[in-house]
Amino acid sequence: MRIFLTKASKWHGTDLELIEDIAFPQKVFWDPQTYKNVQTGLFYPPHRVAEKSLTSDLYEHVVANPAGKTAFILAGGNSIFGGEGRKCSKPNKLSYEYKFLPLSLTHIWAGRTASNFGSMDHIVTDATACTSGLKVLVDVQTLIRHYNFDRVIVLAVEDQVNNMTLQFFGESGACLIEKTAQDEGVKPSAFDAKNFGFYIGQGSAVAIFESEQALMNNGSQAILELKGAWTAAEGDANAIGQREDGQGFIRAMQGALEISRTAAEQIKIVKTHGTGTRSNNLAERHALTSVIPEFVATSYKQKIGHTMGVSGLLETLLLLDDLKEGVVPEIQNRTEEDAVFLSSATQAPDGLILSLAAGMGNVYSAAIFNREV
Amino acid sequence: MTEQDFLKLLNAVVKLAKPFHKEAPDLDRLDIRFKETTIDSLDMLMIGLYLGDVFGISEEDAKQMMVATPGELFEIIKKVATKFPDDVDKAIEGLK
Repeated sequence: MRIFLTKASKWHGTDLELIEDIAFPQKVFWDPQTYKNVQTGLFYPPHRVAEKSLTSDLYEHVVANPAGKTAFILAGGNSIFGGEGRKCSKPNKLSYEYKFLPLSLTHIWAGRTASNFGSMDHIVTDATACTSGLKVLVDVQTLIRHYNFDRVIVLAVEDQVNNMTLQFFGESGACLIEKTAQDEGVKPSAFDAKNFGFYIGQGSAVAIFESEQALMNNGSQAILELKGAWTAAEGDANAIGQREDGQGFIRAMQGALEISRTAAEQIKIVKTHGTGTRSNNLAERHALTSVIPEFVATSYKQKIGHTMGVSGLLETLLLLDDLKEGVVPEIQNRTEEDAVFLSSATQAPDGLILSLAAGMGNVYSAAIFNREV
Repeated sequence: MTEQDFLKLLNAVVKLAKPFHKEAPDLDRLDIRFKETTIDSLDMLMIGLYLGDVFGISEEDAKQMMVATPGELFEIIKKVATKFPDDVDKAIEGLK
């Protein structure tokens, strides 16, 4: 059974702002309006981030074009809604309390949001760290291919511009803090000898997947084919680290190739996880060059920040926009000429797309897409 | 605050409380029963907390405002409110 993306919407923070009143000052990609009036306890930034992608157009499309057995998946990422992210030892502009506690329970909010699309046959929430947005594509293919679902609506959302994440990532050196950026003259980049790291960002994305049969019945237009997706763990890995030989990425890629009955030679464009950390640079580069013979690779985290749980899906949708223009964009701030991990934008080659994501907790996801629909 | 002002404020709060893009009912009289509209128990909880913010009602009191009609809600608010908005439109704007 073929599976198609028929409708999508996305949002990411575009204001690059230095957050100073925290232990590890750092820049973030966000929309400060998502934190407007949060001290009243009446507004919840993760909900506001999600609603940026939940457009009237999407609701109207789903309601006007029924597709039979339908599921809703909320890919909630890392700390998800009931998390501790809002807390801080010293109150700052990111601190808040939330009074509507039932809606901070992820699955209640998911059910409430799903009801906007009409009645559902299945509602599920997912917290597979930074791979969530791609990992749930495994669930999409399972529901459609093995449980006879006709349509699966995926909402991926994460607001990690919060006190807990900025503290943890800043302290561990996982993201690029302002002191490092200033002292070492570094900019966010990936697979580069000089520049490295990422800023944290807000993001959300909605993607509607439908079976081939549903398309024939309701006349929806296919945008992209999801050929297959897979998620894997590494052997003997630190749960908050990565093996430098890229075993997790390799297992995820091989799983996706197998389930989609695709030869590695067919992959020509790669959307990397591309955080630009030393360990990810080593792991992802080694994995890709071991498995895929000829490709060009890009990364979006330098442009929009690391949107964590939504990043895999959101960045794939951004790549689709670029491919419509016939271009695979460069990885920003590369300091070396590179025709594979692109230092300059290039004309998009024919062939399949591979999207990758990695997450803490020892998890790696890969998804393969076909533009020929 | 007049009954008309209260209904105007309540309708604005209901729009905020209902799920995104879900049609909110028009509460045009004080004796309409919430159960006869599309307002559910989760909406009522949120309506109570939004109104609590506008009228300076404690969170605990606000959560108890699970009543049957807008009229009953208005009566409770008149008893427990610590402030009343001078301008309903400004109060609505402040909730966004």
